[in-house]
Amino acid sequence: MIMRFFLIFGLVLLGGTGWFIVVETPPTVQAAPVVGEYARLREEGIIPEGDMAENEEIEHDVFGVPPEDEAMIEAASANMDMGDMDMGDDGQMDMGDDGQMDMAADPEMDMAADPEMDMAADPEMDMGDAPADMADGGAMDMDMDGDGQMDMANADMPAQGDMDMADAGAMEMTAADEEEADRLMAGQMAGLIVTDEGDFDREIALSMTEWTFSELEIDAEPGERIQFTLRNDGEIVHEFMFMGMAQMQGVNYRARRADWNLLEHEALFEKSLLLPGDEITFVVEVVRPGVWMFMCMIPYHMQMGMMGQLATEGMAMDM
Amino acid sequence: MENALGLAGYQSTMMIIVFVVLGFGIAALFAALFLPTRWRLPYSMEFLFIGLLLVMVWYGDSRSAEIYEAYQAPLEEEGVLETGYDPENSNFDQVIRVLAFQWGFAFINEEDEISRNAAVVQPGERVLFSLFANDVIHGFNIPAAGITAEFEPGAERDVWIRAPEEPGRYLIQCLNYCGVGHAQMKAWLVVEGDEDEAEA
Amino acid sequence: MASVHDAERMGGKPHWEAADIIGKMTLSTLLFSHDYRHIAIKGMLTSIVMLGLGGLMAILFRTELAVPDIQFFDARPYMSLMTLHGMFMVFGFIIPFVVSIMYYMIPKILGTEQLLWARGAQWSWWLLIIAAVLLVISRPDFTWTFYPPMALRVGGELIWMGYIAIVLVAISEFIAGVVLFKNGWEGARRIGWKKLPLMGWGALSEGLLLAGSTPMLGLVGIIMYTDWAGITALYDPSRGGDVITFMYMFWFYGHPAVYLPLMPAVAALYTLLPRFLGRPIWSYWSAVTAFALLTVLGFIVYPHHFQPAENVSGWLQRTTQILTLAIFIPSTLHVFNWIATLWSDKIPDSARRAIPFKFMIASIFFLMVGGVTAYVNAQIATDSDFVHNTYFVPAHFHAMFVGFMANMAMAGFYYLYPYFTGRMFNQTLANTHFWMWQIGIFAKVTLMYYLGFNYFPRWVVDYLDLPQWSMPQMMLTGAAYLIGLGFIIFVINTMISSTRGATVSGDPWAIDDGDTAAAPVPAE
Repeated sequence: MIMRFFLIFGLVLLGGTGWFIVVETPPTVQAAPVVGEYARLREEGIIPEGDMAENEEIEHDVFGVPPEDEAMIEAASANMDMGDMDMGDDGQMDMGDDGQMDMAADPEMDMAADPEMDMAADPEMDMGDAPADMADGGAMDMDMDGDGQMDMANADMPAQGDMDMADAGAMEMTAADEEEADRLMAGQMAGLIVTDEGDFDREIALSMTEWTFSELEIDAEPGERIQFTLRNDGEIVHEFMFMGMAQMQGVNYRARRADWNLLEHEALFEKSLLLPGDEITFVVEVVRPGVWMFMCMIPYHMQMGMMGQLATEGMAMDM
Repeated sequence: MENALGLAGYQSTMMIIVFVVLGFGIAALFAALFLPTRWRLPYSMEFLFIGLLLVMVWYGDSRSAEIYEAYQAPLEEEGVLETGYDPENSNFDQVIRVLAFQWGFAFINEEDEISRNAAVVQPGERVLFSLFANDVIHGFNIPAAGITAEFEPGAERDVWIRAPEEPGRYLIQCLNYCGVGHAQMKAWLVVEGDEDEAEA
Repeated sequence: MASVHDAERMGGKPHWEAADIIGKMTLSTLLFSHDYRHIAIKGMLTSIVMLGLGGLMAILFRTELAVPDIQFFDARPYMSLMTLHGMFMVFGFIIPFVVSIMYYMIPKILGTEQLLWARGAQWSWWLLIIAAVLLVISRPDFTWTFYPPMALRVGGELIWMGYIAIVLVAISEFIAGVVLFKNGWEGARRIGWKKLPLMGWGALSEGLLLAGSTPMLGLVGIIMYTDWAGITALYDPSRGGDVITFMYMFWFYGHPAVYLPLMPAVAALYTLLPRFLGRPIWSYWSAVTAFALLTVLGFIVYPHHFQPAENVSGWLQRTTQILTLAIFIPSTLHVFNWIATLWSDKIPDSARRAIPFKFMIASIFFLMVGGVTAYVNAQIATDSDFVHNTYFVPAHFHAMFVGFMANMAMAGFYYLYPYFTGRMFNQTLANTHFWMWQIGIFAKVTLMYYLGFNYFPRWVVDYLDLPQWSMPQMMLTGAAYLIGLGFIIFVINTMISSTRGATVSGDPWAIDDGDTAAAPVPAE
């Protein structure tokens, strides 16, 4: 009798505990320190005050891009490109019935009009006009190491479309300029252009703390220019990125991999390190209707709440 | 430590000793179980055995102490540990400050340039890492350089390595549980030089 | 006079008769009886449930780790599983189990037929149950060593229950220690120090370890609670505290903690080997010396757990290194003693067939594996090079906890089974259990050592897809399943044989050498 009692008791306990831990999984809680170390380090002169320049020696090919990226982003884009806008999977992509939505959200898709912009790497962008194969395309032949993918002077990733624009314009650029031009072109495509400074119509002060932004939903008008003053008011290092919808959906799978920190982030705009107390300013120009995500992509920061959206009217998504 | 000091084989020597001793032990157990010959050990055998163990203790201790004292010498010489971070430190070719936070690494080089998740060094140079933790205990391990440290907020932990000779990317990882992002807290140690693209 | 040499005491006398004790227990005797046999049985059965619980956690997170990338459990549930695995196995299974074996065997071996201060043992059990419940509810996810400030900043609202659980565990173990020490002491007084059976020496050592180390654990638990509640800030650097303080305090308990299950397992080996072999232990005084040395050294080697946190290894670290290397001397003396005992004369066939004996041999094997590899754990140079916080460390302590102590726990359980149920368990099932476990444990330990040597980090839900990491992890999951399967077979065997096993009459472990039944060796 006692044996049976223990057996049943044991099984109930095992089942109950298993369910309690695994099924009833609690949300991740991580409190930030009351005071991070950076203030002390700055005081003691170990770290310089103010913003530090980024180390230019770190070339982007240090951080690779896994081959799955392409497929994932493709899938994400395909998911979004639906007539009825119903994102069956998670219902999150309900974008109303604006047919323009899918392209604005996934800027890289909007290439049909310009055959030069087709890229071998992103077959879904091949809207049927020009052949997707760019390996022998004229000015666009970037594939120098013959791996079938675009490579750039300082990056060999089949980017989602923002990396091969360098040749579309001036051909003699330094690597940094090229990158910058790429970015701006990509921004143009994406509907969101981010520059360090410029004229603006409105100012927004965005504050990062653990684990959220001071404003998670920002409304904008098409054509508006907003100056952001972004400040890290928390105790932990953060980063800041603007990304298009499909891009973000596409790279979400990285959250399940251990090499998250070892991979490159492709983004419309990225400030990879903001120490507590650091502040940057940039101007965002909203070119056309759409929705873009901004987030901190340090592991788990996003999951704990550091993600928001910048959307024009009617475009905001349920997050 | 071994790699930093340019030694070779200390780890292997120790593992070999381990396997040999284990082999003897297992052989003795199996012999006791299966060998038909029985052996009544005289008590003096045990003293002999203790003597052998003491030799192992002495050997392990003195070799290990030799190595870690050699490793610590450059740190102590220049008074790194008293004065903390000092860019003028001449025992090392490069001094990199490492800020570990939940959940990543930021490296600050001597020109006060910061980079996330990647540190750049030259092949074979002696690099001093000054480790600072922002929030909780973190670990710092470079498998290719054979060094591990753990450090907590409020303290500075100094470790130095001799960078690998082969250019390429090497893994740096956090070895102390620091929260949900611990498994993803990794970084690259980039050794500059003519890389093969195949190096991954 | 009773002594370890007196094999007559081990069998044949009325109080060692097989009887169906469990069958006659009711729920109220189970919960409230002060009879040492009931308390021991209760402790063992509860510990087996905790083993199942800890094992379930392990199977779950092992499934996650089989392939790279996160499939089933995200970081937080994974770490909850791992933390509870550690806590249930250490606090809930192995320590209470071996202590319960001692509760049963001490009255027998010392001839007192009663456990003094059995009420304390009762309290100890109840506190542990409450602690277990609190622990599960609080869902700690910060590893079983709960380093602050991490442990102060995660977990959620109910985490304070976890800290209280730690305090209750400390109290529970302290009481158990006092009970064991008292019984050992009384035995020594009655029998005489020179003739005290080794189980008595084991009880004294265990009592000292428990009573000496657990107050610190309790203190740590209390301070964690007050730190968390904001009343103090002893361990939180961002509020002016210091983490190294925690490390010193926690590991002052933490190192003796690993000897808590070891001592009774060693004592049980010393008791059961003569029982099965029919001859005394090779050297009584070597055993006593080893017990004493381990108890003393066990308290002073703890800084080796956080050696890489120090910038400079000074005299304290050097001394710790020497002492840590030295501490493997007493353990090796035990092994030397056992092998010498085995080798000194013929091993009876009855021993070779006996399941408990097989488990004992397996545990000696793994004690050697775990003990010898600790030679590299102990040295600062290798610790900082490749051992610290890689899988090398769990490889070492799994070889010890599972390979040595869990095997001994099984040996003890199978040995006592006829005395509790009046029946013999099924030999085939038990053999299957045995082999599944040994193959599984050996594979697990070897694979973990290999992974550790390749710098696989601890406490990760996910890992990079490197060939030297992925394949071993997959195989490790297989080994874990094998061990789990063995456990299930063990439970089935235990259940079925308690009602349908062959009834036992006389001495279930009589020494039988094929020729004439060997007479027990007369006392010297």
